[in-house]
Amino acid sequence: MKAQTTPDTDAPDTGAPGAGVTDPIMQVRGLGHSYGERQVLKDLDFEVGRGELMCVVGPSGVGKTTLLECLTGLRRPSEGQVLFDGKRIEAPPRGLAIVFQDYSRSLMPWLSVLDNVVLPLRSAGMAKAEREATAREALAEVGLSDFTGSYPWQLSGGMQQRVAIARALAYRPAVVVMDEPFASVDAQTRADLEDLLLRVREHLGITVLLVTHDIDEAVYLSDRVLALGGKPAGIRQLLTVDLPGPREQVTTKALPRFAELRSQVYRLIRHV
Amino acid sequence: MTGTKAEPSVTGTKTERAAAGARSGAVPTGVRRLVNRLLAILVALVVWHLFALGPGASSDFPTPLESFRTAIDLAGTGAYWSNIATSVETALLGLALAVLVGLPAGLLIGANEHARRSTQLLLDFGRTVPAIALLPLFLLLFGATRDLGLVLILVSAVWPIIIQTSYAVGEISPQLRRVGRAYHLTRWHLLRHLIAPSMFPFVFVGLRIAATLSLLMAISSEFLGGSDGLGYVLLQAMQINDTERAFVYSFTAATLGLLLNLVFVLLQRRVLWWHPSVRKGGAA
Repeated sequence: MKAQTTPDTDAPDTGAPGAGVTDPIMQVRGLGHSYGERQVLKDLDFEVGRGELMCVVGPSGVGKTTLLECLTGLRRPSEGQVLFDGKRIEAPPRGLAIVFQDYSRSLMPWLSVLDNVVLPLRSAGMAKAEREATAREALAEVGLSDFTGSYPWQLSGGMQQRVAIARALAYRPAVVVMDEPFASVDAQTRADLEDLLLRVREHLGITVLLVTHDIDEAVYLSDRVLALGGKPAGIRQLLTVDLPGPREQVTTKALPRFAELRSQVYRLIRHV
Repeated sequence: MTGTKAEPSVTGTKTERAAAGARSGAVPTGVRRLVNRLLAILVALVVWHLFALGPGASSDFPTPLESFRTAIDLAGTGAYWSNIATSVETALLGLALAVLVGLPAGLLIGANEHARRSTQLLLDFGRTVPAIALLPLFLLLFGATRDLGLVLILVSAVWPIIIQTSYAVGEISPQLRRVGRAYHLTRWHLLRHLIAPSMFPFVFVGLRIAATLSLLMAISSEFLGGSDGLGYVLLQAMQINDTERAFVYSFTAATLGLLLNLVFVLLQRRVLWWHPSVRKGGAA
C-alpha cells in the first residue's frame, strides 16, 4: 500500500513534524512526559492517518514505550494531549487494541488460545456464538486455526505473539498499537510476522502504529517512519517511505531506495 | 501462512520420555522405582524388628508384627474410626475458620502498600508465637472442648494464609493488569480470569501449610487438652503403658498427614495444571 495519506509525497525527505494528514485518526499535540525531574519526551506533534502504518523508531531507552503508553491512554502525559477520533484520550479507547512486547506475560496461561482471544469480547458483552466466530476468524487470519484448543505455553514464541495479534484483531479495532512486537523472536519468525502484519493490515484496512528499535523493520513496514531522538526525546523527522508495495522481504530490501532510507533513518536517530 | 513451522513442544517432551524409558532396558522406570521404595520400607521394618527384640525389649517396644496385629484389632472397632473422624473434623473445621479469617485479611493487607508495611511486625510476631505455648491460656478459657482445638488451629494456621494471600496480591503481573485495562475487561472478568488465577499458586502454598498445621494442632490439642479424638486415645494408651496401641495411634496420625499431603498434590495437579511447576512440556 502506498502512503497515500501523506499530502507532501513530492518532498518525502522533509516530512515536517506536525504535518497534517487528510484524515487523521490520532492527533498528538504538544505531547511531553517527565518522570519526576527527568524529562523523557518533549514537544511531540504528529498525526496518524486512517489506514496508515506508522513505525516509531528510536534507540533503546529513548522513551518509545513511554510514548506508546501515552498514546494508548495507559499513562497520562504530563504535557499536551492525544486525540483519538477527535476525542481526547484519558484511558485506553475502545477502538484501540494493544499488542505488547512480552507475549509470554500478556497472555493468560490458564486460558486456551481461543479463550484468550474471546475474553475481551465476552467483557464487551458480545453473544457467545458471535464472539467465538469472531475469535476463530481472527485466529484463522494469523494462521492458528489448528491451535485454538492449545495453551499459550505449548506454543513457540512466534505463535504466542500471533495469538496476541489475533486477540487485538478480534477486538475489531480501528487502530492497533504494537510495542516492539517482534523483538523477542528469532530472525526468520520475525520476518514471517512482519509479512503477516502487512497482509492482515492490507486485508482488514486497519491503522497500525508500531514501536520498534529496528530500523530495517521500520523502513520495511512503514508508510511513514517517525524517528525519535535526543534527551529529552523529540521528533527527529517524520519520514515518508516511498517504497513500492506490496513489500517483499528480499526484493524490497534489495532496492537502492531501501538502503538510502535506511541510512537516513540511521543517521537521524544516532545523531546526538 | 507460516502456521506449520513450529509445533507445540508437548510432543517433544513425550519423545524425550520415551527415549529415557528405552535407555533403562527392559524394566520400566516406574516399576524399578516402586521396587526400590518397597525395599527401603522392608529394610526399615527389619531394623525396627531387631531394635524391638534387642535394646527396645526392656521398655515393651512392640515389633512390627505385634503392631500390625494391634492395628487390625483396632480397625475392627468403631471407636478407632470415630476418633479419627473427630480429629479430622476438628482439623477441617479449624482450617475453614482460618481460611475465613485469613483470606480476607490477607487481601486487605496485600491490596494496600501502607497496610502491608504497618502489619509486617505484627505478622512476623503472630507466626512465630508457638501456638502450643498459648495452650494453657486457652485451656483456662475454653476447657477441654473442641473449641479449644479450633482456637488453637486458628491462631496457628491463619498466619500462613494471611501472609501468602497478601504476598499473592503483590504478585499479580503489572503486564496482565495492563492487558486488562487495554481490553476493558469487566470487574468480574478481571477477578475471575486474571486476578484469582494469578494469586492462586501463592494462596495454595499457604493453604497447604495451614492444612498440615491444622491436623497437627487438632491432635495436639486433644493430646494436651483432653478432648475426644486421636490425640486423646493416644494419651490414654500412654498413661496405661499400652505401647502397642500408642504405636498404632501414632502411625494413624502420621498416615493422616501423608493422606493430607497426597490430597494436596492431586488438588494442585487439578487446579494448577497450567502453572510451570505442574504442567508437562511447553517452554516456560
